[in-house]
Amino acid sequence: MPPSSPGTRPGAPARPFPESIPETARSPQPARSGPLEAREGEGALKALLADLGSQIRRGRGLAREATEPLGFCPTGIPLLDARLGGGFPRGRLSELCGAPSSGRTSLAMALLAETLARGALAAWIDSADAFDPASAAASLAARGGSLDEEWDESGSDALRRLLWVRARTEKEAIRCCERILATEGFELTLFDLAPHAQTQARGRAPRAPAAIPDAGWLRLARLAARHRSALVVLSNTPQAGSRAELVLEMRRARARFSGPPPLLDALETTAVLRRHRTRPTGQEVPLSLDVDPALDTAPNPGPALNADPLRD
Amino acid sequence: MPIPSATNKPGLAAGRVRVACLLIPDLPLQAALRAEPELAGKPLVVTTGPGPRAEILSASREAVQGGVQLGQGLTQARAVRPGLEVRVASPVLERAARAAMLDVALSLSPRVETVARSGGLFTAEGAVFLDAAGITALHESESRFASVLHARAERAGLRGFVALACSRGLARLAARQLALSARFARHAHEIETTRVLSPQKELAFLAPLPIDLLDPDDETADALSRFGIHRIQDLLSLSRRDLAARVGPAILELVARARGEEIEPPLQAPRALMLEEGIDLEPALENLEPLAFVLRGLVSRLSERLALRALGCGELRISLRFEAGGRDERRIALASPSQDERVLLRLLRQALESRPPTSAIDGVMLSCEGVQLRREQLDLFLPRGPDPNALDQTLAELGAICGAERVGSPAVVDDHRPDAFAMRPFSGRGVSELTQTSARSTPRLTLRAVRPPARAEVRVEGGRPVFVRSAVSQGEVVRVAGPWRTTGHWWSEAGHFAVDHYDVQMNDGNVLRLCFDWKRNQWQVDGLYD
Repeated sequence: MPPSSPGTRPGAPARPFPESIPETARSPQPARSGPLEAREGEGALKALLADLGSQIRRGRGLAREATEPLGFCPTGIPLLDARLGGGFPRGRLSELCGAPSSGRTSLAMALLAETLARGALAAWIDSADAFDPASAAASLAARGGSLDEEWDESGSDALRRLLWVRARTEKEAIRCCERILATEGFELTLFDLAPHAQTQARGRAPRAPAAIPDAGWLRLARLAARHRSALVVLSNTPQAGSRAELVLEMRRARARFSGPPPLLDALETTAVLRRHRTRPTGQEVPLSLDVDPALDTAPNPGPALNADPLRD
Repeated sequence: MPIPSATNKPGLAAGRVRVACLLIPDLPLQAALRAEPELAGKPLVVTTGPGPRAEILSASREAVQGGVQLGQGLTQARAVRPGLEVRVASPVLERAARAAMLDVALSLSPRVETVARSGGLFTAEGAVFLDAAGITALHESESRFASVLHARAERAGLRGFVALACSRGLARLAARQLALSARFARHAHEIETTRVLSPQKELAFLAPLPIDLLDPDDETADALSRFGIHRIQDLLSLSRRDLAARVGPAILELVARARGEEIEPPLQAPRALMLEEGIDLEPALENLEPLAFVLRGLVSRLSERLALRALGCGELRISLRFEAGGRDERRIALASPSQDERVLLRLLRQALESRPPTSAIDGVMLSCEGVQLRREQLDLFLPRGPDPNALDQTLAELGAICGAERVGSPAVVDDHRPDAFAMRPFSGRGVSELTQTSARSTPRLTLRAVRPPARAEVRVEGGRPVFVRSAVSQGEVVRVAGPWRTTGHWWSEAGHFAVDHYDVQMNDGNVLRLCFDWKRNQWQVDGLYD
């Protein structure tokens, strides 16, 4: 049996080699992929590669980038940082979500204080206009440990490294977030999308959460990766879906009061790791969020409601 | 009679005075091409005004080759060369082109001078003089310098001629002669664009040139023509006294110009750093989208000019002229000087989108003051922050998106008023401190502010709130702490505040900061512990 020519289906009868080439076949035909066109194609490919330039990277490098963290922004809470593998990853989108009074803002503030205390720059995009500078200063003062003589006890000076953007609408907040992420140099970008609980006028439906499409989250994640900024989204419920590197859910336990007279002492919560690309999920870290001791003053004696201060 | 040598002039022989002349023979045409580069290579003419009776002021090489002549009527020119592209001479474009010439010159020499517009044959001409003394210390040779100047002008959209000589008059003459030769050149490769006249060769160069290049007034030109004096060598071979006796004293000035003996004050360094680019629109534009294309061209040219002078735009001013009359003038402050075309364009677009023009626009003028660009100083002990220019652009854009007063760094103020805070401009530079591990690892409880405070309906029993209904939370109060009274500014009727604060835990789990405002006599929720 004659050996089958390459490309011939095994078992199929081999075609005999033609002894004479028919005239029509010998006539010059425009070749579809002749050497000249191959060269042109090669040139076009080179030109395309030159145009794309830095946008082209090796698949191996991309895969490594996708899995290896680019550094972390720690929260300053050792147990939680250990569970997260070092903190909130830089160059990635993370979510910090939970119900109102679950401690998500306090944790975000701790993360912010830790970042600012390291001398890095951070941005807080505030769609609900809920950022409280006094609380931020208290968190920074609690983080303390400064060796600088100029350190302001209130932590106010470190706040100079915080860019606070008070967006009026969620659309503005998204635009601002994109713009900040496109600027190199911000280690941490906190995107506060959490509306106030049941923010609704009488007779109207509750306000819908920020409706950012998946493409929007993808764009934010890519911008964060480009300039190695840790993008942390603060919200009531997870929003970014699979675009988030990790989702940390805050679950409220109880508000601890002491007294008499009764004083709000702390908020006890639990941080639950709901999603993480490389770490085991479902782990819980109990947290106690203490009230600033500077505020631990006794309430005014007597029935304050009965004494009109305007008559003083 | 021997012709006296121009090199006898003190200073010339030593070659101390060297002047370069950048000459654009058809400035209206070049200005039009600069605004509409897509017209390059087409038969284009620039007319003195609108309508068929207008005269041809300037014509492209393609139009001239098609038979169009300067000074011709537009109807006649159209008959000679069908398919002519016609533009009306625009003073705005011409002014911008002259300013661009000055910028090109300033990129190579600190002392420059723009030449006032000539009359007669050279109405369409634009010229600028540069001090080129000692230029060989920076460039290989004077001819190399001339080539660089010519190339820069061409990059700025201005095709012209460059000549170097010992005086402004001679340099201009040489440049005019180059332009004249180019007009009669059959092929583009025959055109000579630069010429350097050494002091020894000036006379030989001048001698065969026509008198017209000296730009004599009409009377003098007629008189010289009657005497059969057509070339400069004819003029220089005659004695000044005889010439003055026959033609008049005005001829002496012409002779001095021909000999390069004009009294010229030294070139000055210009102080004005205002840059302008403008365009007249025909037809008027009503939408922002086509306006964006117009702005792109203007900003691109402005940015190129800023780059030529190594300056940044400190404040961008835009003036929109409405077809119905009136103007809309705006100032866009840049946080830091920039010459980045994209940044300037984005800021302009945001400014216009935030407050669109109210009427159709038939003219746009962009101007800016050139200021020095900022440089970055790195810190050894702090993480590298953003590039100051990029950061300032970001801040400017954030300000344009949500208001400049809503972007900055928070600051705690010495005030007991509830929710008292200040916003400082964000500089990205706080005090630098060394990292040290915190002794305390428990985060503080943070308040989420409710701005403005949400009004609440509260049922009070025994002097304590027991039920709260508000936009933030509603339900029964489980635990309550307080009140804490805060009062202040009692001396001011407007600023006086008196508030009782309570920390309340609701049955839905929310922990609120509830307050009773004595001034307004109402309950409010001004914060949520989170």
